[in-house]
Amino acid sequence: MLTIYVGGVGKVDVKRLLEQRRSPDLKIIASSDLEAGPAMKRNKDAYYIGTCHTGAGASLGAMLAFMGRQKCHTFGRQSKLTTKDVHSLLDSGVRAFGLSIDQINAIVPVLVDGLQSYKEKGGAS
Amino acid sequence: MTLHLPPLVIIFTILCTAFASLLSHMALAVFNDGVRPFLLDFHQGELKRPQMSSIAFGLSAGFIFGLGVPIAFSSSVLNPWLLFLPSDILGIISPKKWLAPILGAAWGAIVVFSLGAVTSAATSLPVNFLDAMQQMSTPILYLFAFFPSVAIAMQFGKLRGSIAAIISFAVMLVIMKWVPAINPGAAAMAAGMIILVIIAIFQEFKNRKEAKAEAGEEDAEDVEDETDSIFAANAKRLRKYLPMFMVMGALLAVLVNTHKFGGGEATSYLLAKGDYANAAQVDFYRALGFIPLVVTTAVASGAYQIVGSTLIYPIAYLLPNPILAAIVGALLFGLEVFVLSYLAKGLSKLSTVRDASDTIRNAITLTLEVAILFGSIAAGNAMAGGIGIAVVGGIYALNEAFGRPIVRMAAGPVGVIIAGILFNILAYAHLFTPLAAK
Repeated sequence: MLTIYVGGVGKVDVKRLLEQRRSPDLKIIASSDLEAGPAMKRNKDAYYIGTCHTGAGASLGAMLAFMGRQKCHTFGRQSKLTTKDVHSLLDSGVRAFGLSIDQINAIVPVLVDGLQSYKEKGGAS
Repeated sequence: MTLHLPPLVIIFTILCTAFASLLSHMALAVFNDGVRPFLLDFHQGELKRPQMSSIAFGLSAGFIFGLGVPIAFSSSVLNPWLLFLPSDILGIISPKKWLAPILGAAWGAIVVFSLGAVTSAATSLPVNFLDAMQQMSTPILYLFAFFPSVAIAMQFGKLRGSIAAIISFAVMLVIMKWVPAINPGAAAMAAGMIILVIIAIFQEFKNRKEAKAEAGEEDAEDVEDETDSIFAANAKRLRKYLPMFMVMGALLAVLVNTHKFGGGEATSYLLAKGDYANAAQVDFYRALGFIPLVVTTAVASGAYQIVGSTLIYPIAYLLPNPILAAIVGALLFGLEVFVLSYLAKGLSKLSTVRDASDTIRNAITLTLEVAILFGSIAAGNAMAGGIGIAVVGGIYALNEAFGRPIVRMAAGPVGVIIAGILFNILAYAHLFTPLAAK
């Protein structure tokens, strides 16, 4: 089971997009940086996707204070991403992702594909 | 339209960017809400200056040229993206403390002088795109009236959103027919906003009751303790530098009071038309969308927002003179920083209110994108008729296809600027006859 907390300005859109996948081993929880931060410290198997206009303010926000900078990554307004990029981020221990709200459709599907295939392979690539 | 910026604007723009750059150098405040969370590691020394510079540049550059520049050059009014995103970067890059305000001041000077030059050049050309941009304020005011309904629909469902939209429309109609002194768009916006606030508060109490009914209180307390300890230290750091923020508040309030600086995305166009009261109303509601974000990122990072909670915009637009603005600005920033930790504590318990704030920002973006696109196409039409519509709309659509290098909200204004340049060149080449000014 892969748990993903979604937060930030576009969390409803991200949640809807991920629920359309109808993936049985994907658990999506609408949350926020303040609530998901402490929860992710306890559940080592959870990830966070946050969205806002910059990709880091309301997206990551307090997440950097809770998790530390090394475990957070922002895609900013980047509009291209590959599964390989996602795997190398996961290899480096990143668990909280931030991205710009106008790039949700370009980034989120690839990001979650990457998370799922990483899990299937059982970790490090 | 005045051709040159008045001396007061020039002086206070330079003072503002210089001081903002100093605050950013000291990791006390940045304008970019995305850069702020990283400042925690920066002022604790875990993130070195070169790395921090590349983070700040990466998160800001797109918004300087994709949002700040087009809005400024299409309205001839300054905006925070144009002034303070670069001052964030310059302050962080600057290796020495004394150099930061000098770099900031230099940027402020470049902006005011080039904006003045472009404005006077544009008004003397055969095709005047600045006059055409006056088309912008009607769609902004009337469409913006529905942003509360959009926010309600996003957070509380289609039914409530539709009801709110119908009420807003009814208010608009009634005001238009019987109270001509009030702007119908502004009145409808106020009505929608009141409905949104009522629903959010109602929902907050309902959630609180449900949460209490469930168990898990112990768990919640653990989380609270953890959050409090992180945030208390950061709030304390900011309070230590209270006088610095008061200076920033005073400088910024004077600049905003000149009406040559628009805080929100749309306000620049309203100010350009002299519509100060409506600009204040728009930026007041916009502030409700930013206060929780600013407060949370501030206590999580130990750095504040250069423009504070953004409440300074509506207040300073309306104050009668710059001296009063300076005093009120200083007091406001002082108060904001002083109550930061209490606000953060209160907000961490109000999850519906925090969500409402996020949806307000989202809904503002959504409605403004429509309004600014429509206004830009109307400006294209005012400049050159059908072919003007084609150029502006075409550039907007191309930007979408290119993966949106320009922020959607600014794609229309970029289209207008490009169309303005293009039609002037064509007019000089006798390939295009400018339309008679309306």
